[in-house]
Amino acid sequence: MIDKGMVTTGVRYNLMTFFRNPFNLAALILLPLIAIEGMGYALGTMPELPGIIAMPEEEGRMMGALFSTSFLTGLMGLFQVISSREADRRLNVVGGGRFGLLFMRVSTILIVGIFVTMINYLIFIRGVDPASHHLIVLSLLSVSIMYGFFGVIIGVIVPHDLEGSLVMVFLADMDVFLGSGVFETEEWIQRTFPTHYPSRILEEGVVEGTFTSDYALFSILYMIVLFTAALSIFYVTSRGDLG
Amino acid sequence: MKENSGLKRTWLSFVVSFKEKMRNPILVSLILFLPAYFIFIAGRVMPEEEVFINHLGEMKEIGDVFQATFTPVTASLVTSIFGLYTVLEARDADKRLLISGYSSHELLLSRFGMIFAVGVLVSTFSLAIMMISFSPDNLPAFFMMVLLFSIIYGHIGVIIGTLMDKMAGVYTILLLITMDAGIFQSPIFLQEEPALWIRILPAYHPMNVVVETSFLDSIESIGHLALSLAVLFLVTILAVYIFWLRVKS
Repeated sequence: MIDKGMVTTGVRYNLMTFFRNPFNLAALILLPLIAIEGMGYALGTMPELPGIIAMPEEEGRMMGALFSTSFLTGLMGLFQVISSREADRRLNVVGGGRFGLLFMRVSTILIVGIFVTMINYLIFIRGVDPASHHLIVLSLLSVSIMYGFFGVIIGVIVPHDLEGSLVMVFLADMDVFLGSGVFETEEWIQRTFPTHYPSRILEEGVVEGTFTSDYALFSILYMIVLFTAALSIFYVTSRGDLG
Repeated sequence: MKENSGLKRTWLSFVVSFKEKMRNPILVSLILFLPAYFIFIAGRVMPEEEVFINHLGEMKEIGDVFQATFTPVTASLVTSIFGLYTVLEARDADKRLLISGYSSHELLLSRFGMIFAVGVLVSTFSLAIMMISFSPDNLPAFFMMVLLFSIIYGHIGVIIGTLMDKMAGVYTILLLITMDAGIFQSPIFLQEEPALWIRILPAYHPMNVVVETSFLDSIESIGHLALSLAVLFLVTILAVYIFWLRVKS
């Protein structure tokens, strides 16, 4: 049974704690700006990108948007889980329940994810004239949700700041260089990276405005798998922690 | 006599911290596995195309260039995150050590020694994995540059850890290293003469030497090498000063 009052209070408290930190706020706004503008500038100097339909500068901005959206939400998910272990134990004692606590953490991550998505979207469209704004939001939001779940999974499996940060940093970095499609690499390897399908949706949103249902379907499938994994891992491991 | 006991205490603190970290199998496997995995996969999946290297004035295989330039990037990521957490996690321990008679310079030596040790470990392992599919022309110099890269960013991690909390710190480190070393200084991505603001970033001079040691027998740009050492010196001085201020406070 989920205590709605406790979940609402918990989410509100988590969000206030997050947004009250000036460094978090600065990171939310400044870092996407640097990533999107910086990657757009650097890739804009390249003559052409084989197999890529977008202009190099657009491709760079896409890389930057996917990178900052994914990593920021992922990191938020990671630290939400790691830093809340003690608080969760206490909340469980006062009747929070394991699923109530998970629901609270996931809701916080999703709200921050939506916020991160909107900031990245607004910065992203400053330099491009996209064919479909809906597809861009859809793509960034799906990446954000995926990485939020990744953050939860990593935070539960590797429940220490240093180790969890290392995994998240490498996942995001490998994903942006190998999964986003900027290099014409072997297709099956690209498909294993979380941003692969959302990056295709983003590319279509920028260039053609067409909607390929396969890309959306695989993105949703990826999200369902991650959500199920996060739920199962949290449930199994929290039996020991929360009783 | 007093100096000897100071050195002994510094060594003891370093050994205890190092053993503590190395006894954590998850941390050790991540420190070694993550860069290795990145470099190994990159070596397998890069397209068989060539890219023009501005600095050398010739075409090179994109896979070789990617591996040569991303080995220092991955080593730097690990060392920098380690530097960040050295500051964030050791605060309480440092206070206790100061109370129990350690001096601030003994603590400094111990903590920076740890960062150096991790830098050596990660650089060596990353290089070994890279050599499965790519061998730099000037191996000893290339290794020294990878190490220099990781120490520069390890010390930047210390600076960031003193100024920010963990979330903003980890994000800043990833963004800084990815943008500076991975994108702006990469001969794959930036195909024109770098602007002034790119040339003052910490990875500019070291990356030029990395590219030379990867594809040439000798280091021809002594200026880049000297300025790389200057960057290391400046970053180290700044990190030591900021860490010392924190310990003193």
